[in-house]
Amino acid sequence: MNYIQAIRKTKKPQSVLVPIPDDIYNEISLIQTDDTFKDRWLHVVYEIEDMLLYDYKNEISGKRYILISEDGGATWCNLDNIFNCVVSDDNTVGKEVLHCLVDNIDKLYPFDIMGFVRQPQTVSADN
Amino acid sequence: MEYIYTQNWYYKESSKSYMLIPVRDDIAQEINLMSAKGDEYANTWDMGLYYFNNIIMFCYDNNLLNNKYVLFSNDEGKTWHTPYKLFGCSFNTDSLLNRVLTSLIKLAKISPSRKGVLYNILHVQPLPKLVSASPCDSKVEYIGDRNFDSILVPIPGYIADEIRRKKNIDTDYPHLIYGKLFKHGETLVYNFSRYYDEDGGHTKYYELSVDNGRTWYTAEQAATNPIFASRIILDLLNATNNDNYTTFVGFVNVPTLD
Repeated sequence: MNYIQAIRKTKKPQSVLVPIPDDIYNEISLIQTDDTFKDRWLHVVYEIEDMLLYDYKNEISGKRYILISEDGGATWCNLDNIFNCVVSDDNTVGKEVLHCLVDNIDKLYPFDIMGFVRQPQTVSADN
Repeated sequence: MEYIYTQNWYYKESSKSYMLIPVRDDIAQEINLMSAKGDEYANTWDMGLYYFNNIIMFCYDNNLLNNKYVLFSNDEGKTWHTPYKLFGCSFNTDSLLNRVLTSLIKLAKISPSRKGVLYNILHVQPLPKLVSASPCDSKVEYIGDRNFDSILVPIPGYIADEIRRKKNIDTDYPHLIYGKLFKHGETLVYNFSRYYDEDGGHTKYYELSVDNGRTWYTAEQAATNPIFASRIILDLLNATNNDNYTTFVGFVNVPTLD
């Protein structure tokens, strides 16, 4: 599993790790180095109320990946699953409303995204 | 909390169009109650219409009574969806889903992304009844009026069709065709006349209301109705041409609450 590391710039910086599925990881790796697509995708971490929100949107592939954390980034929930929008494919209005609401917060409280990190593995423990 | 289709509606006006927003009976009663309380309670509740992208959101928040009501539309107000319908979420549950949705709505109200379309919230009113609708005219449409406190006038479908035809083909003879709303004393009169149809006939259509547009009667019904017993109907109709009047501003779609 890959993670994105994001840091909130305050006097006491807060660093969070956002879990990223492999297909999203591959997409980001592919397009972030290509200036041609720089305006066609985004990923960002916001703070809303006392929750964190990660939003990845790719206009080229059409993929959207939104996560919510209410414990400072320790655990993350997929927003579409919370709202059952993926489960019910015919709930297009629900998806549209949800995505519009998320789009509407794009200028609030962004974190700085530093890049990918991988979760360390302890292969040598208890030798 | 259940969401119930009700007969109370929010009625909105803009420079170009009207919009009706359905509200539950209990919410309508609350809004009327809070409106009547005046400025002292102005900070304890609010409501508004918010646009972002192609989504319209109607929000009513009452901190005093701890009640909230939100609707979404993605078709310019033709259909309205409750959060419960879209997300299985009602606002009186303590869940992550509820917290997220409440936070997103709160932020959306702060920074709406589309500000070009504005509607003024006028008042809560039930949809007017057309008492006199002919049984053969199952289709009833509504005409919105601007000057008389934004009154809705129900009209049978065949009159609506004639008005639409008039707008398309009769512009050369505006004096032969008119649809106007008059106010004579406390009586409202809607008068539609078309003197030359394609077949050489003519149409006259009157509706009268003495309750500020909530109920409408035909002139024939009014002549035998106790409500109008003290009024001389024909004199009333003839007198309207000398009174203040306004023309209708367009048809109003009655939205559905999904």
